[in-house]
Amino acid sequence: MTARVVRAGHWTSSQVDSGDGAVARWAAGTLAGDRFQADALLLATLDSGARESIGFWRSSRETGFPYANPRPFPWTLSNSSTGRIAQALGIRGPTYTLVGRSEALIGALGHAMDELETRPGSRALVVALDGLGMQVSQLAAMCLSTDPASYAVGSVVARGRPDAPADPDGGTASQTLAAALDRLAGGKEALVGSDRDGWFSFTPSSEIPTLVREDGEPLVGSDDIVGV
Amino acid sequence: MTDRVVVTGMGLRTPLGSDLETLWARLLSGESASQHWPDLAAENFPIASACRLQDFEVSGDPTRRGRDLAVAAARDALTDSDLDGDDRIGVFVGTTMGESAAFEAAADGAELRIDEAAGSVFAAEVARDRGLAGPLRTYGTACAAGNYALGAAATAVRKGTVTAAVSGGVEPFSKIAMLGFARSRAMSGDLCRPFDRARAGMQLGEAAALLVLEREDQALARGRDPLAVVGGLGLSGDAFHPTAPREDGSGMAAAMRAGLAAAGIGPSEVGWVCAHGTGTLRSDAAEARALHTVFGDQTPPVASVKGALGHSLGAATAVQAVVAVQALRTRTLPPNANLVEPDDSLMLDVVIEPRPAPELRWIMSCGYAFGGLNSALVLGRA
Repeated sequence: MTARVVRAGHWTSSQVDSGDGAVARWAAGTLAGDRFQADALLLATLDSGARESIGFWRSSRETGFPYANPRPFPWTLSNSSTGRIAQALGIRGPTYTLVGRSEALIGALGHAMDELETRPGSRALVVALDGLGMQVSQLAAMCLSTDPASYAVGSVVARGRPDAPADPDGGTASQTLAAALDRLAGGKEALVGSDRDGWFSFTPSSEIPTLVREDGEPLVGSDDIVGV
Repeated sequence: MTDRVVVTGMGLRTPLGSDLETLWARLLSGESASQHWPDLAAENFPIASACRLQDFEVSGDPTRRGRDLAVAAARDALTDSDLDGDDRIGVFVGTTMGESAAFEAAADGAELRIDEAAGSVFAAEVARDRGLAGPLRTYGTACAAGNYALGAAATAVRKGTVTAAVSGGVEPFSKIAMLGFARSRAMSGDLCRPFDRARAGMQLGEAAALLVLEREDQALARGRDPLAVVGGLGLSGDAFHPTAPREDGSGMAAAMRAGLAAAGIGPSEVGWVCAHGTGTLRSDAAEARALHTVFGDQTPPVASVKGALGHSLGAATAVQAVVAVQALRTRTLPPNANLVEPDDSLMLDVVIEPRPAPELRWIMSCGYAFGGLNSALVLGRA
């Protein structure tokens, strides 16, 4: 099965020290502001919720448990960012949060393809979001569709073991997806996966040009701002 | 030939038993695992009652408790199914808090190794322990995570991506969750009483439940009697609020309908709903509305196991799946523990005593979560 990449981009933020709630709001606002739309959401992350878990526990120890502030607690869950993004984009279809490094991204891509296969014409948004241990929070996203009427900046194919070597494994989901999108934006093919978790190949399309936002962050592809 | 996906093995660690026979007997007796825990009281937790596993100690390292639970349950499940290492057996695990104690230790100054704290460590540890080389998937989808893992595993088995799957949920006791739910006023200081007029909230639990899934033709070919059929999983999103469900239950109802469609059955074929039933005012009420929306005046009997076992978060729906499989095998509906006075406004037929169900064919097991996640897994008699 092949899906078309109808919108994609990656972004970084220095909000790494301001908590998972702030990072989730940034991610949701960024995707909504860039008009990502989808029927299903698949988010891959290694550490969403980790920073808030530590912060919530540390501050609760300081205040004493009977006086702990419960407001950060929902953000200790790894799916809190997914929920925030789904709410911002109004996604009422399936929303997945896969935890792990690149295998989580492979899982997210696999579920996205399954959703598109089950619901032809729908859109699946794959998001990778990480931050802990990095200097910045990193967000990478791609919206997939099988709708032949949509413009495409690339395609994604699920396939068996490839002949070509892939990039070294071990990166976070956002690093892996951002690297693939960079290659796509540069007109190059990309390969993501492992023998254990499966493989996806990304092929660039010449249907619409790669776009660069004013702040210099790449936004590759769009089906509704062609020619900008 | 059939592409049906079946359950051929189960392994579990729950506060009411670490083997199926013990758990089932205690559920049928209406027992609750709720206890007062002096260690929690000594630490000044606002609430010190919970459903924890007693006498479960493997490595002695609290930051490995989830891994120990996962490995113990996986070993039992694979033994039960008479399957061993295979290069295409995948591991699909749902969890909410991961190795929570590792995050607690990090807050106290210990080094955080994220790959040993994030929930993905459970699937990786099971694969390492059992020599399984198939894909690893971890679903951080909060209180619906077990259903997500089971549904994804069934799809992978059906599509031939894996030859079999070890799938379910793992949740070690989390002090972060204990404090967070208590301070959010979502937790009962007394017992958890799902669907009771005086229900006052959930109670935290811990558990691991892993099920082996494989194609029915493969199971029969190797002489295994399937325990149950995995009909299908329905999912939906509320896109409404970080923690509260839609009050009209419309998101829950959408997941239930999707589950029925995935299983290819109609509402009248469901003989029992193993409800999410956390015992909170809002969630139970929304779930009741959803059930009436989907099933109308033919709403099947309903019971929650959270009064008996507490809410084991990411493992909860996997535990429910084990209970549902046993209900299908024994044609018996387990009771909703701790129910004193049913909330008549919910208009549900809540099971209060073990109920024979000779015609039981399909069960719907529901789980909803923070972030507006809704799931309904449909399981059928083999």
